Amino acid sequence: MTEPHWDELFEGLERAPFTDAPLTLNDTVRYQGASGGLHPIHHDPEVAKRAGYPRPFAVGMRQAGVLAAYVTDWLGPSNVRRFKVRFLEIAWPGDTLTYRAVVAAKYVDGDDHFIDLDLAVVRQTGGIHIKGWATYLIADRSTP
Amino acid sequence: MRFSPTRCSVRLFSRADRRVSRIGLETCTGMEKDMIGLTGSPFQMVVERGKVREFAKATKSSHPEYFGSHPISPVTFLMTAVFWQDENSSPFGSADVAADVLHGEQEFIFYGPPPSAGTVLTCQERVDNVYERLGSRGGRMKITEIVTEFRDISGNLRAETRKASIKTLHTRDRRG
Repeated sequence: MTEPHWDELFEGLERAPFTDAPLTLNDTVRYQGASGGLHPIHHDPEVAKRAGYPRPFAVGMRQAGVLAAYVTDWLGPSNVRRFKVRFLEIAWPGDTLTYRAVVAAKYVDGDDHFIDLDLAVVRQTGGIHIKGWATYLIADRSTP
Repeated sequence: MRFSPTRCSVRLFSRADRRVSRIGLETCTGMEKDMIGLTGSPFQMVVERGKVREFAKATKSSHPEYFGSHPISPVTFLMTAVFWQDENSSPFGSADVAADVLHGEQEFIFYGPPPSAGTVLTCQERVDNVYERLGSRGGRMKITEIVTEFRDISGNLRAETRKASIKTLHTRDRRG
C-alpha cells in the first residue's frame, strides 16, 4: 500500500469515512478471543442482565482496534507513535458504526515529520461511541 | 529518533472538550493516594506472528504488513499482554474485573515502530495516578490510571500503554 507524502497532507484533510457492516456478536467474540479480554458481559445475556444491561454490549477496544486499522492502513503500520481513545456511548450488536479521521496538525520536530489526527467512531444515531487522537510519523520523501 | 508526545490540536472536537478530564478534580483520600507508585512484578511477553495475524483479522485490518513473514504488531496489539500476565503482574495483586469498573480511556505510545514478531518484551505495570472527579450526572467517580512499560532485551523502552478505569462511587441509575 502506498502511504501519502508529506506534501499531500494538510490540516483539515479528512480521510474518506469508513462505514462498517452492522456490528455482530461474532465480531465481539472474535475480538475477545484474539485479545484475551474475555469478560462475559459482552457475550453472555444472563451476565449482562444481572449487571443491569438489557443485553451484551460491544467491546470498546475492538472498535478502537478497527479505528486504529482504518488509520494505519492509510498511514502505515510502522509510523504510529501515539494512539488514544476515550470510550463514550456504548455500542450494541446491530449498530452501524462509521470511522472518521481528520488531520488536526502537521509539524516538524527535529528531523522528523508528524501529523496529529482527530478520530471518531460514530453510531447510526449520531452518538459518539469513541473519540480518539493519534500521532503518526510521516516519511518526508520530498527532500533527498 | 526520539518522540515527544506532547503536541496535539483539535479539529473534530472543540477545545473545551479536551479539557473535560481536568474538570471537577477532587482530592483523593490518603489511602487512594498511597496506591500511586505501586508496581506489579515484571513479566515477559513475546510478540508472535500467529497472534499478530489473528489480532489484525479481529480488528479488520487488511494491511499486507500484518500478514507477511515478519510482521509489525498492530497499534492496539499490546492489549494481548493479558495472556502473559498472572496475579503478581498487577499492582493490586489481583486482576480487577468488577462489573462496575468501566474502561474510560486507553492510550498507546511508541518510541519507534511498534514491536515486530519475535520481539521479547519485558513488561511492568504501575499505578500512575488515582483521583476522583464528578461525573456528568453529578455522581462521584474514581479514576485509576495504570501505565504499562514495554522494554526490549536491551532495556530500551519501546512502548507504554495507559489505561484509565472508572469506578462509580455513588450509583444512581445505572441504565442512564
